[in-house]
Amino acid sequence: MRLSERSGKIESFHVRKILEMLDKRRHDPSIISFGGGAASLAPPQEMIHSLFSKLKNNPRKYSTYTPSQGIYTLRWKIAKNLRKYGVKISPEQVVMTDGGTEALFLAFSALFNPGDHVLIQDPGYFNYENPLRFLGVKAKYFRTRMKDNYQISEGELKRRLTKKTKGIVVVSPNNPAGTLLTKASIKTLARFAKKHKLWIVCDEAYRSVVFEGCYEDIYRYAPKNCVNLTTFSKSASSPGLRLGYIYGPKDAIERMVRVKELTSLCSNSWSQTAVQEFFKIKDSYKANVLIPTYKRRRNAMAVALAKYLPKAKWIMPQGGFYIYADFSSYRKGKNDVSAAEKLFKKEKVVVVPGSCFGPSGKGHLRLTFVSEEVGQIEEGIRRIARFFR
Amino acid sequence: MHFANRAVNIEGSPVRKLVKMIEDCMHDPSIISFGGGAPSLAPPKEAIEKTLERIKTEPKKSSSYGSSYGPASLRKLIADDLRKGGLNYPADQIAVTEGGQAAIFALFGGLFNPGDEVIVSDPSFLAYGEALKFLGLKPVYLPTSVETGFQPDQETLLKLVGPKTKGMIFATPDNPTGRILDDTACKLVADIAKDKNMWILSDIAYKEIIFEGKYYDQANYAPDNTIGLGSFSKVISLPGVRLGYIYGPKEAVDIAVKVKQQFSLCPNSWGMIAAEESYAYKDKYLKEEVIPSYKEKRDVMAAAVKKHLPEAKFALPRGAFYLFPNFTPYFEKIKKTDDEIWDDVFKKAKLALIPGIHFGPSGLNHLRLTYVTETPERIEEGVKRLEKFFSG
Repeated sequence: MRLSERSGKIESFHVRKILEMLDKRRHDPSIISFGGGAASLAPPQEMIHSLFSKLKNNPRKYSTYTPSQGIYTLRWKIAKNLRKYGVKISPEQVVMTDGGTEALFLAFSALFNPGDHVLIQDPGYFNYENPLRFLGVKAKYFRTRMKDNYQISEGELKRRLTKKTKGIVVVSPNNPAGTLLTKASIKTLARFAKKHKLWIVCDEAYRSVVFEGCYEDIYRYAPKNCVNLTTFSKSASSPGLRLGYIYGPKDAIERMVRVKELTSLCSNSWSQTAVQEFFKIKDSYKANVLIPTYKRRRNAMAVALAKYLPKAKWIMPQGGFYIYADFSSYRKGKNDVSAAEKLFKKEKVVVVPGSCFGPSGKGHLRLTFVSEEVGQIEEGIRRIARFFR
Repeated sequence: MHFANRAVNIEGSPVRKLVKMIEDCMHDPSIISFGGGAPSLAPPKEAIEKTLERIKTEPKKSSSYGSSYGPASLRKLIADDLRKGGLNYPADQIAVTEGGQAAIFALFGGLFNPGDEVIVSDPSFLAYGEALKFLGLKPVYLPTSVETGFQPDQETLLKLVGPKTKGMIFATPDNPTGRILDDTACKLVADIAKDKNMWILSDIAYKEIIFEGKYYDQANYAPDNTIGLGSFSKVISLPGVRLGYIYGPKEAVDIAVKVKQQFSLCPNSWGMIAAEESYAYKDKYLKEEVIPSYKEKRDVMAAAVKKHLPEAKFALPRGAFYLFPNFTPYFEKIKKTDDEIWDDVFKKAKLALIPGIHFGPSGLNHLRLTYVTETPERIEEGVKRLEKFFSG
C-alpha cells in the first residue's frame, strides 16, 4: 500500500543507530556511554511525592485532560520564573508541550510556510531539519566556528539570507558545543531579525545546565520576534515525563495552541502536576545536586581529554551535557562516522559523530559527560585514546 | 510578524469553547455538564497503586526516555489483549502513541499526500476534519442518519469514491452517535478498500465501552488495509496521561512512528507504566465499575429525553459516552443558528453541551449530550432544563 511522499522526506538519523548501541549497554556493563542525551540523575523526590499524594487524594482530577495550552497555574509559575531573566510575559504567552520535540514542531508549523527558508545553526541540535522538511520548509545552515567560540557573525547570516528566509534557529547552551550565546551575539541576532523581519526560534533545552557565567535570554532583546522553547527533561532530570514549553508573542502562541489541538490535544496531566512542585525546589536541586554532579563529570572528562588526547581541539563547555571535540588531527578521526562505529565495535564506547550536528561536524565527535561516573569517564577517554593511537 | 497559512487556517476548535464552559462548571455547581468527553470515574485503584510503587522503586529508570514505539513489555500486553478479540499482531506491528490524537495526526501525515481525499463518516469525531485540512488533505463527508442507525450506505459511499480517494476513517463505537459498525458495514468498507486500494483507519477509542450488541473489528475484514487506533483514555479512565496505540501492516505502523518522531520523541514513561499495570485489572474494572455506571446513566438520560422532549429522534447508543438526538422540530421553532442556540443554552439553561454541527454537516439540528459526567438526578434535571429552554 502507498505511503505519503512527505514522510519519505524524513531521514532516519544516525541517532537511531546510537539508540541501538545504548540499548545494548543495558545488558552489557562493559560498554561506556558517551552517546546519549538523557539526564542521568533521578528526578527530585519532592516531585514524585507530590504527584503521589495528589493521585491518592483525587485520582480522577489529576488524571483527566488539561486545557490544550496547559494548566494555568503552571504557566503562571513559568512566567514568574522568567522574570529573573528580564523576560516579562503573561501565562497566556506560554504553551506546555510534549518536550522540546513537540515545541519545535509547533513553532515550525505555526511560523513557516512550505517553500520558506529557515537558517539553522551549524553546529546545532540534529533534529531541526527533519520536522522542517516534513513541513515543506527548507533548512539552510549558517556556520559558527570553534575559533569564534561558536558565536554568531552577522556576515555569515547575511550570506545565507534570501528573500524566502523567514526565520533563524539557534541553540544556547549549544548542543553539541556547550557554548552560550554572548550578549554581543544576542544583540547581533536580535538586530538582524528585526531588520529582516525574521522569527528567532531559540532552543534553550539546557538553559538550567550552566556551569560558568549567566544564561542570557534573547527574548528580552526581541520580544516580537522570538519564540523560545525548553524542556524539563534536563533541568528536572525527567526526560520520560515528556514536558516542555514555548513562550513568545501572544498571537504566535495562540496559533501554536491550535496546532497542538491536532498533534496531542494536551500534555500529560501527571507530568504537569509533578512539575508544579518542581518550581518549589528548583533552585536548591540545581545548586546542590544537578550542577555539582555534572560539573564534576565535565571536569573529569576535560582533564582526561587533555591528558590522553592532546591533539584533540575543543572548548571547555559552559553548559549542556557534552564536550564537542575535533579529532581530525588523528588519522582515524578524519572520518567521524566510521570512527564512531569502530569505537563501539573495538572499544565499546558509544559516541555521536559530529556530522549529525551539521556539515561542519566532519572529524568531530560529541562526547556526553553526564551519563557515566568519574572513573568510567576516564576509562572511556583512555579507550578512545587507544583507538586513535 | 508573519505566520504559516496552515496555522492561520485552523478553525478555532469548538472544543476550546467547550473547555471554557466546563471550567466554568467547576466554579459554578449550578451549571450541568453534558459537554465533555472525559470519563467520570477514577482509574482502577490497584493499577495506580502498582504504578506509584514502580516509580518509587525505580525513579530514574521509570522517568527516562524510551523507544518511540513504546516498550516491548507494553506492546506485548497490547498484543495479548488484541488476541482475545481474534486479532493476531506481533509486537512489531504495534506502536504506543501519545493518545488517540497523536495517532490520528501521525497516520494522516504518514499515509496521505496533499490533495488526497479521505472519506469521513458524518457525523463523527470532530478532530478528523481539522487534522486532515491542516495536512493539506480533503475530508469528504459520508452522510449517515439515525434512520439507518448511522451505518454507512453502500450506494452513498460508492458515489464518493473518486480517483483521489485514498482512505476512509470510522470510529466504532462512534463519537457522537454511539453506533457500532455492524458486520455488513465492516464487509462493505473492507470490500471497497480492497477494490480501490484504500487505507481504512479504524478508531476504537471506545472499544470496550459497549452496553449491548457485538463489536466487530475492521482489521479482521481487511487486515492489509486497516490500521486500528486504540486509546487508554476512555477504557481505563486515564485521559490525562495521553496514551494510545496503533496496530496494522508493519509499513504503516513504521511510517506513523516516523512522523510521530517529528512532534514527540517517545510516549511518556509514567503513563506507560500505568497502562501496563492496568491490564491485570481492566476486565474486572470494566465489568464492575465502568459499564454498570455508564449504562445506568445512559438509560436515565434516554428515558428523560423521551419523556421531556418527545419530538427528538435518537437511536439508543450501544456504546461510548453520548446521546445524539436530532432536535429539528425544536430548532425550527427558535430560528437561530446551531451555535447561537449553543450559547443561549449555556447562558439561559446553564447547560454545557456541544452542537451536532461540529461533528459534520449531518449533525445540523442535533445536540451531543454526554451522559457519563453527571449523577442520574442531575441528568434528569439537565434534560428538564433543555425542555424548558425549547419551550421558550
